[in-house]
Amino acid sequence: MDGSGSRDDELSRLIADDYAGKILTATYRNPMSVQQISRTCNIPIAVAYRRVAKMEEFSLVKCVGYEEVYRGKKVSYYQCAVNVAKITFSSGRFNVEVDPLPESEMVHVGEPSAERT
Amino acid sequence: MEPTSAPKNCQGKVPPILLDFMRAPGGHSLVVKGDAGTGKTTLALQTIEEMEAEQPNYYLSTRVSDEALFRQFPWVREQKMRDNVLKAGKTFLQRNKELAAMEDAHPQVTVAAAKELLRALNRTDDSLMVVRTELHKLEGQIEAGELTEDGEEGFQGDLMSEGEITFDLGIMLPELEVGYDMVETNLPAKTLIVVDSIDALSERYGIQAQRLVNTLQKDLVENSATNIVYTLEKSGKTDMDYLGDGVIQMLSEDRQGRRIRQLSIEKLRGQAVERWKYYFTLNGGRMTVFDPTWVHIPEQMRPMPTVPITDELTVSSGNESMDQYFGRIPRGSLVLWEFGLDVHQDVVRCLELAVMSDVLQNGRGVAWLPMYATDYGLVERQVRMLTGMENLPALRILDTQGGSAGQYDMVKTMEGEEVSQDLRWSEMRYMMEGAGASSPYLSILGYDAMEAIYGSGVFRDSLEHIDAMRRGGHVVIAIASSRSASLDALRQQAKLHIRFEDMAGCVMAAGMKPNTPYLYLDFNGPEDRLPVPKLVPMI
Repeated sequence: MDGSGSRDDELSRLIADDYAGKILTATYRNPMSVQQISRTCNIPIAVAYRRVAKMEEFSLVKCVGYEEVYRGKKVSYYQCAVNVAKITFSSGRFNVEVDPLPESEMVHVGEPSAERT
Repeated sequence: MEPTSAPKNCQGKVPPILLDFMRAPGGHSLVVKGDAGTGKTTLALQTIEEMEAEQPNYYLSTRVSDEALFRQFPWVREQKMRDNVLKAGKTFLQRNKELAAMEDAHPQVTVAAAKELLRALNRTDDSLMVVRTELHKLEGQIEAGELTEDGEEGFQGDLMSEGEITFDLGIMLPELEVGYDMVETNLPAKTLIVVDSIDALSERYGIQAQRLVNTLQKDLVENSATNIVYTLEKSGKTDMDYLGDGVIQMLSEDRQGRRIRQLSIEKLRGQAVERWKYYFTLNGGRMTVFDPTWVHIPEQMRPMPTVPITDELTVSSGNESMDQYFGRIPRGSLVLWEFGLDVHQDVVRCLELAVMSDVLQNGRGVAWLPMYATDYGLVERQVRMLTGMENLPALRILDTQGGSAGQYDMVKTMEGEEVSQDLRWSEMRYMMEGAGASSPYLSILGYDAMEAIYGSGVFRDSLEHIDAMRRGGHVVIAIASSRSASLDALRQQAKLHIRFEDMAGCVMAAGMKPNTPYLYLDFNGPEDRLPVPKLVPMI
């Protein structure tokens, strides 16, 4: 199996995931911190951080800024970065197509997020 | 109407060794495990209550709402623990506020708790501070998305420098942070934290319970001398057994339709555990562990008060508590008291003396064939003290040994050949009428002793006496051990059947006819009276 197939499998699993679906819906044009996501979507806090990290890795959500809340401590905000997602089944395998939300439609919060490595 | 508090005389009692464990120097963790309904929460709440004067506490409830808790344990409200409960509750209210789902939230509590949290975080003075190393490490791992659902962690240390840390301040693990703040506020005093339950908290955070326990163990128990009780919704061997300094197993099992509640101490580091198994009840919403039965019949006793006669159709067992649970004895009936082999003879003797004293004081007659060899002089003295009667013409002790002939007026020596002859009804009636005793009469027959004299078929031959007594509206109490050859026939014939058995040193009674729960025989009472047990249901 090639690398893209495995990545597609993982991406399709992620999109089909109940928590990921809730996160995409809640943060669509509505940036939220992970803890807000956890509370709003009723997702356990550790699971919420884990999902958001994974979704960011697959560009399903994007960090759109951060705010300093207390003595240098910061909180990051995430927004749904997906405009359209399609999962198709063809020739015995799943294919995932993600159409990203245009940058112009992203809502920026506080200071711009630093590039992550 | 719902009860609002436990009766003053029913305040409950947890095993004292658990309190000693909490009082020992340093911090201690205790895992209380068991299935639903086994009494974990009750034990935890009562431990808080009993330690309240010595250790400030924080009760973290995750499974049930506060009001539900109060309904289930109305006494909690009275013990001024509500504030502590709500402190845990405020974290949920915070969440629910954003969902706008809670209409009856307590905003003042939320605000107060938030202020308290900020006050702790803002603290810059030299006051004692609680160690938060593991908590911060845990939060860092959570934020980095490095705690996987199956608990395998890729985190090997601090991944981020201080400048890069991004925290949602103070509310990532709100229940735990409130706990840490409480411990810090109380330092140097030791705080008692109850996490009820660790499984539910684990589920709420999406973090393995073991990881949470490890964090609390290192920060609070080991470095801040905090006591923590975790309830765990599991039974048997668990991974948590290795993490706690103490492990308690709570059990609730069915025995012939009756509930048996047990608390087992599996581990209690630093304590010499002499007694590791306790039976207990949750009667009145309280845990009361049963002490081993230790009956001592005093040498000097005050007269026994009689049980009031409520009607002409029944007779008292001489014990109001037994009458209450098993019912008074109907006239014209056979009653079976079955004793397990481990039940102490003095238990049997106390019950016999109580019923005989009551019957005699009511002017009625008693014929008694003792279950065990008896010092008749001692019995005579005891019955005189208990009844306050100088003469006991209406008491006839049926002696099968023959060694006491002529020594005591009340002893009638049996021939020991045929029980049907020795227990002739005409003889019995003659004795009672001669003594001026009124009816109903009472026969107490020890079947094991009778079998030793007359043989194993004694029941059949004694049936004539039993039937005559029943027809005449009198009462027969048959006493038999669980090994008695007559037991099956007695069970079949008896209108009331009570079984007494020893459970880990505690004597329990269970009504077979009528069916009752297990009842603990509490012999505590004034030292100058015959020990007459109060029955406490195991529920």
